[in-house]
Amino acid sequence: MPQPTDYTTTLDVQLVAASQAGDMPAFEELVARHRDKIYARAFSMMRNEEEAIDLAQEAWVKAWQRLKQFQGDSSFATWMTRIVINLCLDQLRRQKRTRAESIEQLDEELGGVERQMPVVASNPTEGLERAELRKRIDKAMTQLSYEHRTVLILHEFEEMEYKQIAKVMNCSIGTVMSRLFYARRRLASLLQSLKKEQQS
Amino acid sequence: MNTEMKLQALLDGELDARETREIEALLTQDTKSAALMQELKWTKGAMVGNEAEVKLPESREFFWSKIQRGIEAGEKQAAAAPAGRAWWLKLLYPATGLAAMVAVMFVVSGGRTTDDADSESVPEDVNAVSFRSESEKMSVVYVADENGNFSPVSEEVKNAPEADK
Amino acid sequence: MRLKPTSKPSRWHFLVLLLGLGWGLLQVVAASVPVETRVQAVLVWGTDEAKSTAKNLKEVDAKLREKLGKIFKWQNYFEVSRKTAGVTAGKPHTLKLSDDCSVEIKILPENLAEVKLIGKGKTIVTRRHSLAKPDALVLAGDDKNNTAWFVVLNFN
Repeated sequence: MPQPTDYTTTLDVQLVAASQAGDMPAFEELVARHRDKIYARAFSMMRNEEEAIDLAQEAWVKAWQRLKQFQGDSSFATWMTRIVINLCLDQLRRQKRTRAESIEQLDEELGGVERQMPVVASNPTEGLERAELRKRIDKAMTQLSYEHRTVLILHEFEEMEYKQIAKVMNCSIGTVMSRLFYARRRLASLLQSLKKEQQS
Repeated sequence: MNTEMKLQALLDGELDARETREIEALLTQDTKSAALMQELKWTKGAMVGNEAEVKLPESREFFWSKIQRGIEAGEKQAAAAPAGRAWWLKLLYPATGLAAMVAVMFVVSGGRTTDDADSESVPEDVNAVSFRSESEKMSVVYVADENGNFSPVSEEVKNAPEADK
Repeated sequence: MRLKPTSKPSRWHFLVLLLGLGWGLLQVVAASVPVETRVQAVLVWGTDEAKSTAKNLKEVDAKLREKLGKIFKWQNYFEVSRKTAGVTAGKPHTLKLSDDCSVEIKILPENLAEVKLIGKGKTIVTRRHSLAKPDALVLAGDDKNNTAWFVVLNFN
């Protein structure tokens, strides 16, 4: 009986090539390697465990179906991440369409509250342990609108340029800049509030 | 692009050399801008490399089994189409007629099948946001311009004396 | 010898096909006649100031006032100008709403309208608007002294 191939030491590029040739165990190894990262991105955007699992799963199925289109211009992980980001954005847009729009949402996007916010005068994250800092950033991110959160994720975590974000989010560069600016201002304020809470 | 956006663009390395010089000069003179820039730097700095670590709450085997099922379902769906050809053939003639009718109706209606086609573009120095109010049946594009640089309503019109009746 | 029922297309099948094609042909002829889309554009000024400051302007109709009031924050909405036109597919049509503002409307394939808001000769915003839904398109923006302008477009 033939032994199953051990792929644990095989490089991603080799696994991708094998998967493109229809080798499913090779694809399973790719899933095992990157599944946490892909799920984490979906979760960071959706803030809902169940939805994030479903979207991560859908992204992997889509990846298998489109594997022939992967040319290796970026790393496999980057390509996969783009797939799950697009799926999350589609889902968020669908959800937004079904939600009643309100002036508050518009206000937030245009920096309604943030416009009046005083500038944070001391570093709100100074001296924090890394684990605590991550916790606070995560908590603050949950309080942002999906547009603000997404633009921050794409810029700071995915290291995408303004024009790339504009393309992914289907909006103008000006809108990206505006959203990013007010998202950062709001995040600074939230981090400062968390610092004050801790001190009191 | 207003000064706030330029400060941010400088921080993100998205300004050209001339604008970089301008904003750097501004930062040495304007304390408000310098304070804002500091805040933006803190926020950006805090985020770098500090994304929360999240793990998929499902075992490798279980998650993979779901993906495998998804892949198989997709492949079955794709394979199902040619298998149904014999059944299709029987209905080919009436179906062709109906298809012709549907196609023409589609052309005449201008392909009105979706309302997802809305999009807008604005010059780079303009910030705009769009949204839809389902209840009021309005699609809105709002141009953010605190200083009201573009005003289609002239001051004369706004403050005109009452017209003779 | 008894013949087995055949699976060949029956007379009815051909009749449906012919009817379908005939109807299709009629529709193609009808579609070749240029269709006009009626567009109404209203320039509105939104302000919190007392009504008396804009004596020459009348308030927008109650329905529009209610709709704008539910979305935006201003107390009063005054109609500055109103233009209506029939726009033929593919041919851009410009409606001048004030000295500094006009809208260029073009009806595109796939039931889309492209609206360009032009201010002082410069395109402020270009919007592709789906005509599949019954929505009015509102292009709006900040004006001086915490007021706002609105261009409300309705397509029929």
